[in-house]
Amino acid sequence: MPERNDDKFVRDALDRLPVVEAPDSIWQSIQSSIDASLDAPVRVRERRAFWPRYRWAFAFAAAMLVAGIGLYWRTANRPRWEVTLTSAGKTSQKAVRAGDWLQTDASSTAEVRVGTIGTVEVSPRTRLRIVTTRPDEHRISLQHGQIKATITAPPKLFFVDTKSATAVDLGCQYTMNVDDYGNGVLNVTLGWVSFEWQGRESLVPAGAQCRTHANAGPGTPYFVDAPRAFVNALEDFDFANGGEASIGAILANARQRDTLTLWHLLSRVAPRLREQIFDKMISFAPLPKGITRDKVLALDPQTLETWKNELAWTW
Amino acid sequence: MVKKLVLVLVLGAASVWADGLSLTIGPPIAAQLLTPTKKFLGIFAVRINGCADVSKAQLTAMGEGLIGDERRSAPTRPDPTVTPGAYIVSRQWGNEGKWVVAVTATCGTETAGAIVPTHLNNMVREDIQLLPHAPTKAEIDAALKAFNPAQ
Repeated sequence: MPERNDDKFVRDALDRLPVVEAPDSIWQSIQSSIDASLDAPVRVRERRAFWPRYRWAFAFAAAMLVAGIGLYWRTANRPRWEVTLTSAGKTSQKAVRAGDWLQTDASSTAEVRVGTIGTVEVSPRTRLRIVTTRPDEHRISLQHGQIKATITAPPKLFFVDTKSATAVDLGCQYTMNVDDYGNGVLNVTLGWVSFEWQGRESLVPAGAQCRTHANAGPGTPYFVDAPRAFVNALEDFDFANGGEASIGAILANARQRDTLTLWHLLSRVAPRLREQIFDKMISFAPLPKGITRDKVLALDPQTLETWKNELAWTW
Repeated sequence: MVKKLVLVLVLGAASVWADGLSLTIGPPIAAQLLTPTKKFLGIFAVRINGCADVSKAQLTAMGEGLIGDERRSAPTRPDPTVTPGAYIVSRQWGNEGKWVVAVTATCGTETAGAIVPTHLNNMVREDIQLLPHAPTKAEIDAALKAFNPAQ
């Protein structure tokens, strides 16, 4: 029982001790120890949580960086055309790329080297935009003014857009002028040009020209040496609703080589007028083998193409 | 002049449907060269008709000029086009004097010819002569003498 007495003595002694508050430094020390013990596992948890949360952001940033570098590289290396500008007797060089504008004033001209396929001479007071400079498509948009294109390449590599028509190179040399509204004229000096707009196509060979009007598109091509009365009647038909009266004047003034124009008109008139045009055409030269009246009047595409190719030998 | 034109047109048209060997002469736009970069030099296109195998046909062309009183000859090689049997003839001489092109085609044992007057880079259609034989020297000289491109 002496142990029980010792316990009682100790308890009584403790009860008699005064209560004293621990100094703040002790509590701070304890708190620091606790924090230190907790910090290690918490950091591990945070490190594990960080990557799932931000890895997509990092991936996105990396992708943007790569894309940016690629875009810069592509922009810096995209095809460009060399331009020689002439103003007041002085020449200077510059390069243009897709999206760039080129403008001449009353006293300046420019010559654009269109990749390796040819040149475009830009007359004074002309404004155009470079649209595409790919090897398989060279395209400019002529806002207003005049250009002369000389293209030595396979067909359908060079295009000139205007507001009312697109000139499609078929291996050729031509001049084209147009105003701000899209009214203009295409004049071909070598080869062929296809003048197109909304499904309508005018095939213009060397020695011929074709007008185009805003909201009407390309008219009917004609040789530049065609009789004045013929040309006037054609303009009435194309752009002034000349109708049957115009066709009558066209037929009355047509020559052998004007079958270029008559061939185009076949598919642009009503069937009854088509017969009149056909009869006029065969008055110049008999139908080639394989071409029949019925097929022509039915506008059979293969028949018309074959006949046009044969007629071209007489132009 | 009108009679001459009609005669040429009839001859030209007839050449297409004739059974024997013949030639058709037309502007360069009537034919498309295999090599587009060369077409700008073409004066006229020529097509061989009535040949069973045009791959074996032969076509030659010779520029014959008169510069002042001096006769000159300048060979030119017809360029083949995308159409078998059709060629484009180019100018191989300068701007001086007057020039015709003597064209000769052979297919097997048959021969046909043409004399084509030219003015710079153009043919003079109304004065073209289509012949059932190779052009003779006398025919060429006569054509040169009669031809006046300034008119």
